[in-house]
Amino acid sequence: MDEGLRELYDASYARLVGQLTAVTGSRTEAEDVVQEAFVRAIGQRRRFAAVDNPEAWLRTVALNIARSQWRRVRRHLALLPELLPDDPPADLSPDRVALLTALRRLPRAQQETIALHHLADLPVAEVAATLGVPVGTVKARLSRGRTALANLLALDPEVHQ
Amino acid sequence: MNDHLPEFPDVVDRIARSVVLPPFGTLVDRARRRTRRRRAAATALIVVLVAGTAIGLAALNRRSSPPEPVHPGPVETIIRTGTLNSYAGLADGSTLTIWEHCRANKTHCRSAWLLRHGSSMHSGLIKGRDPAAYAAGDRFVVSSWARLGFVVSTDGSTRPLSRGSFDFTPDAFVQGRSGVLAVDTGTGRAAPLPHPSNVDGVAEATLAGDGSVLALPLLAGPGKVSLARLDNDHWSTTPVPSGDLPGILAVSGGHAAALISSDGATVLPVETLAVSTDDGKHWTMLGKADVPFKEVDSMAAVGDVLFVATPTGLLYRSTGSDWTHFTRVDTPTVTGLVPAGTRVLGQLTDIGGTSGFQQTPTDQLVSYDSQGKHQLLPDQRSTSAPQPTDTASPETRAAQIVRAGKLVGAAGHGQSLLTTWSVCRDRDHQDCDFAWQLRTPTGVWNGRAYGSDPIPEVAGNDYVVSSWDHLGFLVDTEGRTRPLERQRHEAATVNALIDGGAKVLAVEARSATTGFLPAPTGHLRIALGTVTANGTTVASLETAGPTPAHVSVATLDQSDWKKTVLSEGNVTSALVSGGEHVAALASYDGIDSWAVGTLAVSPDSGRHWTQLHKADVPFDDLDALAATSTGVLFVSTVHGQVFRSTNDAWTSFVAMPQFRNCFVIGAIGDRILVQAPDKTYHAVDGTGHATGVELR
Repeated sequence: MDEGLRELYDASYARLVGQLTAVTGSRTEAEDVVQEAFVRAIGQRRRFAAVDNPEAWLRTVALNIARSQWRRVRRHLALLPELLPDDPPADLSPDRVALLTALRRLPRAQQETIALHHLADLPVAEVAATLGVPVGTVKARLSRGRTALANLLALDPEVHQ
Repeated sequence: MNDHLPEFPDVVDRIARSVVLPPFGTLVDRARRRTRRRRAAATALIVVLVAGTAIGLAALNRRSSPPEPVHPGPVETIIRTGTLNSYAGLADGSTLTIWEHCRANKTHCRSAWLLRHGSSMHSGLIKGRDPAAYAAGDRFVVSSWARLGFVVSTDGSTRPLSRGSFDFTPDAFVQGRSGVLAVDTGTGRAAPLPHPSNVDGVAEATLAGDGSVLALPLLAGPGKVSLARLDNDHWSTTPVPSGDLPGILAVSGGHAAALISSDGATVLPVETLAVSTDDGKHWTMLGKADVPFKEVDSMAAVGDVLFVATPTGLLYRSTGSDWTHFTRVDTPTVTGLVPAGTRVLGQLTDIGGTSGFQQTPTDQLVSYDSQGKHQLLPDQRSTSAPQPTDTASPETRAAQIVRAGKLVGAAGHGQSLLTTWSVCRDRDHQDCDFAWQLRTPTGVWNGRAYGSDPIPEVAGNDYVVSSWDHLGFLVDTEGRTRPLERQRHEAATVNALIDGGAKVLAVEARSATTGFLPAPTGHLRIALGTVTANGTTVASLETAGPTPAHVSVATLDQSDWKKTVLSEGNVTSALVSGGEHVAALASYDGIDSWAVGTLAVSPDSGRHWTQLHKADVPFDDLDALAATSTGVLFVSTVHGQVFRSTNDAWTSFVAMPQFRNCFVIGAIGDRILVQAPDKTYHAVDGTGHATGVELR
C-alpha cells in the first residue's frame, strides 16, 4: 500500500499543488498544505489505505488545513504579515489577472468552489466530494460566485444578455 | 452571463508543470517524528503494516546485515548537540540513552548511544533509523527499524544480534522492522515472535513474572484487539470489551496491565485498561469511566505499583494491589515511562503537551520509586562533553528564545506582563521554537511554549498560553505553570476563551481544565469569544459551514445564548473586551477579511449593542483591536494608523497621529501595547500617553 502512496505522491503532488494554489491564491501555502496532507496520510496509513479515492482525500485534507491556516492568518495578521497570500501570477493577461483578483474577493466558499471547478477543472461531483457539501450547493455557489465575479468585474449580466 | 466572464486561466497546469517535488523522505521523516512519542505502543503497528514497502525508503532497502556499533567518530558531537530520543535503565542504576542530532531542516539525522554505569561512560554510533533502547536483565539492547540491533553490556562491550528461529527463551522484546523480535541477550540471538493464528501479528510483547509471554495482537482490519498469552508454546487469548488499537503493556512481578486504545488517534485514548494479578491468566477490564485519565502516553510498573503518564505530563499511580484504583502523583510533568529495575524512569516534559499535537520532552530524566517519590537523574552527558547551553534546561533555552526572538503576543494585568516569543529557523515559520516570559515587580520567569504562535491571555488571576493547535497551560503570577486538561463537561467558571482550532475552548483556571464552549442550536458555530470583567461570556456566532451568511454577537446566560444579529459582514475578524466593554468586528470572508462591515460595541458585557458601520467610524479597515481594562478601545488599521475611543460608548474615535505605521499588539491591563516601525514597544494608557517599554 505504501508503494502506492509513493506512486501517488509522484503522480499527484504537482497537480494538487496547482489545485490548492488556485484555491488559496498562494503557491507557498499550497505546497505547505499538500505536504502536510501527505504527512498525515503517511502517519495514518491504515486509515488512508481504506479510502476510495486517495487523491480526493488528500485534496480535502489539504483544503481543510488551508482553511485552518486561513483563520489563523486572519487572526494574527499583524504579527505575521509575510503569510499574506501571494500576488497572482505575473505572466497572465490583464483580464485574467483581474479575474483572479476578483475571485479572491469572493466569500471563501464561493472562492473555493469556483477555483476547484473552473481552475482545477474538477467536475461538480468531485468539487462536492472535496468540499463535503451536496452537489446542489456546489451548483448554487458556482452560480452565485459567477454572478458576483461579473459584478466585481463590472460586467452587467442584464446588459450583456 | 457566464460567457461574458473572461476565460479562466490555466493556473493549475501552469503551476503543476513548474512544481519541484520535495524528497518523499522528508515527509516520511515529518510523519515519523510526529509519531515518535507513540513509539512504545504504536510503532509496532506501523512497522508491521509497512514491512516490505517503500515507506522505509533507502534505509530499508539497504543491506540488512546486522548493525555494528562504530567507534569513535562524531559520537561526541551527536551526544553533545543532540536531543534525547530513547532511554532505558537497569536495576543497578545504569542508564543507556540514545541521542539524535539532525540538520537544521530536521533531515539527515544521526544517532549515538551513551552508557552510564557507575562512574564509567561508554558511547558509540548507531546505524539505522529511529533507534530505541531496551533494558533486559543486566544488559541493554539497541535496535532500530532497519537494523537488527546489538546488545550493550554494562562494561561498554557490544555484541550484534543475529537472526534465527524462535527456539530460545527470550529476555527482551524489541520493535523490529517486521514486528516484534524476541531477543536472548545472553547469546545475542533474535527471532520474530510467533503470533496466535487468528491475528496478523503482534504489536507489543513483554515477559510476565512467571516466564510466559504477554502480547497485544495486531489486526490489519477492523476488529477488537484481544489479550494474548504464550505459555509452553501455546497461545491463549482473552477478548476485550472495547478498543481496536493495541496500546501498551506493563508488568511487574505477577501484575500486568494492558492498555487497549482506539484506532486513528494520534495519542492513546483509553478504551480498555485490562489488569491482572496472576501473570495474565485472568484479567479485570476497566473502561474509560473507571480510570481518572482519558489518554495515556506511557505506562510502567515497579513493585506492585503501576504508573501511568498522560500526554499532558500528568502522572498517576495505582493505590491498591489490584491496579484498579489510581491517584495523581505530585511531580513535575513527565512522559515516556519505562521500567528500570526497582524504579520507573521518565522524561521531564515541558508542559502544554496535548492530544494530537507535539509534546516536547526535555533531556532531563527522572526516576520514581514505588511510593511515587521522584528524583532527578544527573545530566547524562555531564562528564562526556560540556553541557551545551541550548539544551541545559527548558528555562535556559526559553531565555535564549526570548532574548533573540520576535514578539508573538502579550497580555498583562496588575503589574505583571506575560509575553510570548518565537525563533524560527525558516522563512515559512514552520520550524520555530517558542517561549514565554513573565515579568512582575518581584521577578522574571521564562518557559517554553508550544504549538503555532502561542498567544497569552489573562485567565482570572493567572495567564493562559495556548495556540490554535496546542491546548496550552496556565502561568500564575509567580511563574508556576500547570498544564490544561481537556474536560468533557462544561466548566463551572469560565475565566478565558481560547482558540481551539475549529472551536472555542473555555478555560477554568482554578481546575486548570478546558472544554469546548457549547455552541447554540440552529446551525451556528462559535467563532471567537471573550470573558468580560464581570465574568460574562461573550462570543461571536457564525452560520455553520465555510460561508457564514451572517454574524451574531451573543452573551451566554446560564446555558442560553442571547443573540444580536449584525447587519453587515459575514465573518468575525476580532472580538475583544476591556472591563465590561466589548467590541466585535464583523467583516467579509475572502481577502477583505479586515474591512469594516459592522463594528459592534457594548458598554455592558453584551447586554446592549450599538452597531457601527464604515460611515460611522474614521477607518475603513481594521488590523487589530485592543481594549484596556479601564474601558478604552484602540484600533490599528492595516496601514498602521492607530485610533482610540473617546467616549464610554465606544462610538466616537480619534486618530493618534503620533503613531504611524504602528500596530496594536494587545491589551496589557490598563494600557495597550503598540509596536513601532523600529520594533520598539510602547505602552499606551487610556489618554493616549505612551511610555516606552522593555519587554525583555
